[in-house]
Amino acid sequence: MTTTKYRFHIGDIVRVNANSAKGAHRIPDYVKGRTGEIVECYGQVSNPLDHKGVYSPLYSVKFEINGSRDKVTADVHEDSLELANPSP
Amino acid sequence: MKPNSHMHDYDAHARALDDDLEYYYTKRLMPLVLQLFRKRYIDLYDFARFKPRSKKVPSKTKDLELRLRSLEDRFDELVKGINRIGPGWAALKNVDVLTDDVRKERGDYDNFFHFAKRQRSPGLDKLIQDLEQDITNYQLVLDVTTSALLRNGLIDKRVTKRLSTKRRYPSLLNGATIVARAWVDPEFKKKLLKNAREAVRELDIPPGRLGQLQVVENTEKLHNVIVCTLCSCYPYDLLGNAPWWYKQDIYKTRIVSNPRGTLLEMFKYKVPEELEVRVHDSTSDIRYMVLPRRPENTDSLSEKQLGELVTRECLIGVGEPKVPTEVIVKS
Repeated sequence: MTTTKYRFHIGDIVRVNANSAKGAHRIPDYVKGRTGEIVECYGQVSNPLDHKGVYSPLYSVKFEINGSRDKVTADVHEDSLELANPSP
Repeated sequence: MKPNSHMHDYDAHARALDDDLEYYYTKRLMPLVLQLFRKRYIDLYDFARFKPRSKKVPSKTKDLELRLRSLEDRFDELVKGINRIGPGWAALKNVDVLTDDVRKERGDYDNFFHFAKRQRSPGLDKLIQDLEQDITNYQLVLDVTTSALLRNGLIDKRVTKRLSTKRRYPSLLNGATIVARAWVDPEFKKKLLKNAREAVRELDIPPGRLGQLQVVENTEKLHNVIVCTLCSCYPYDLLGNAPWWYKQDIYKTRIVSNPRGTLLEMFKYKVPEELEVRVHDSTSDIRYMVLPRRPENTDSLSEKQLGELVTRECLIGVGEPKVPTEVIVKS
């Protein structure tokens, strides 16, 4: 998966910004405002049966689950993400 | 007997079925029928004239679980039948019934067109009785419509026949075929993990059209589980209908905050301690399917036999594939 033309890369630590002006997509409550790690970049995914047009590039972001070493990933669009710490 | 434990909450199961049935009737079948009426492709007199072929009556049993399972099977048949004549499946030739028209008819743009919600009398037994009657009624509506469309030359019979063959129809069989192939063919598995939609074409499985399919592999370190907390998305176009519990809050809200506990409580499935559980919430255009690990002692099984070990549950990650009860050895 090429990540060079997208804002984020696999490994980046990002924060979910549910109030972003551009990011108008549904985001589950349990990840709003949370910080996670990018584990996959899907680019711009076309899905004309579900919605018109194409959204900003889509990433799988991995979050911790409180009190365990298990994780949950949610797919969030670029417009709703911002860097928390850039990866080295 | 039971491949994996299910929640034995018959009440919730029946109510979920009720919701599903109502959805398919009021949002898929009836709006299509009304559009067909408006365009004069079929008419009420087709209904008046219809002589149903005598169908096998489902056997009477008091066992709730059997009745629910029978309802599920009949519901599957109803959904298949609706898809066969629906605009999305191109069986209707020279008929311009657009998805948008059907949406208009079911009230997506105007409440005027909403179908009323029916009052249900309380009691599980009564509910199941009502569901059994409803399914009979809805199947009748579908049969009349299909028959009228065929008689008026509006469905291409060859197309509906092709759509009936299991391989091309969204069902568990597709998932089983894919998993079995991935277990025996490492090259295919590589392609599958990289671009699932393209890879499954090799198996003569239509790739489907909903967004992107992502297959996630279970390993000796990682166990994957799938959910859609926002709206119960599922790779419907590949695997068919999602299990009833997948759409319930009791699964959706708890699997993302306590996956191990939820899997144990709801499915009696204990994930080994050494594995990390990773829950994938399909919140956007990616639909997920789990590639489970191949069970032990299956070296002598054919690809078809391997496919028979695959369950709907293991493709979601709430259980493991079946284990072969006996190793079949060709002597």
